[in-house]
Amino acid sequence: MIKESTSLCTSTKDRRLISKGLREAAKTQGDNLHVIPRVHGWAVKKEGAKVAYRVYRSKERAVKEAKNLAQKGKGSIIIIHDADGRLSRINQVSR
Amino acid sequence: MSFDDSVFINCPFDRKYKRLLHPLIFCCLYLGLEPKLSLLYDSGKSRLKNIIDLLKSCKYSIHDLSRMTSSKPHEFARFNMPFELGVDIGIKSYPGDELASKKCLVIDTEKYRYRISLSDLSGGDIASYGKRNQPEKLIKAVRDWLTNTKNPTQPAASEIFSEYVEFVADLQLQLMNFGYTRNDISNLTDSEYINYCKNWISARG
Repeated sequence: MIKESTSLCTSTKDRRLISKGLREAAKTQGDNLHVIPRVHGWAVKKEGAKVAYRVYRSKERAVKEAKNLAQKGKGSIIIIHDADGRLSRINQVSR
Repeated sequence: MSFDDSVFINCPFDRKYKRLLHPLIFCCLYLGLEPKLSLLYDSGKSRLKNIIDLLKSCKYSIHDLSRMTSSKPHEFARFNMPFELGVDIGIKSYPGDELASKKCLVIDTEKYRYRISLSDLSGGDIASYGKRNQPEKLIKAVRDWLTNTKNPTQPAASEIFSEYVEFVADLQLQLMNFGYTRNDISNLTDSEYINYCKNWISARG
């Protein structure tokens, strides 16, 4: 689980480096699966894909299916989001 | 950014609303609009003068009326948002082609609640994003409005939302690389957040 305390004081140099990192991340399609909230449930989606594999009623079920897909070689990292779309957990899957 | 590509966002600026403000800003930028928030501009001018100048500089505006009721006992309702909507409607009726072409979207958590507290708007149509404050529904409301008013070939709301969550993950991971924490994304200033969105969206291509 990612820690939740706060302490933000970004220097100009940090901001520039964060922007550079973001530009690189935007261009890279990682071998990641995302579990994301949808209006009527939770979806499992490959990074960069415009369409989700499937939408599930519960987050638990979506996470389980993401693990199954990862076991089948469809991804190696599962990025789990919260109801607002923010990152809540990252799972590395070992095959 | 020109008048035609700017959108004024009239909404609460508290921490609780950031969960909606961030996807709202991302959606506007993703669809080619420069968001303008009154908090970001000249503090040397009076707030109202700032708002009028901003409204005049934007063809598009989004007004969120969700705080027109108080959420707990002894809390005052907020009237800034409906007031700024009224100013916007007034500006739209100024003589001149450019201001007459202004387009505005009014949003709330419920579709017809405004008829009770702001009955002058009756007959108009407002968009709702639901009581559960779901970011994807808000993105859909904005995307559908811009499909009708700006460009009929916009990406689907689900696609914009998928891009938003990937951006958020990338931003949080970048911030964490610099020692920041999960909640620090909420503590970014709006101008920092807008700048990071622009960097990510432009690189996405």
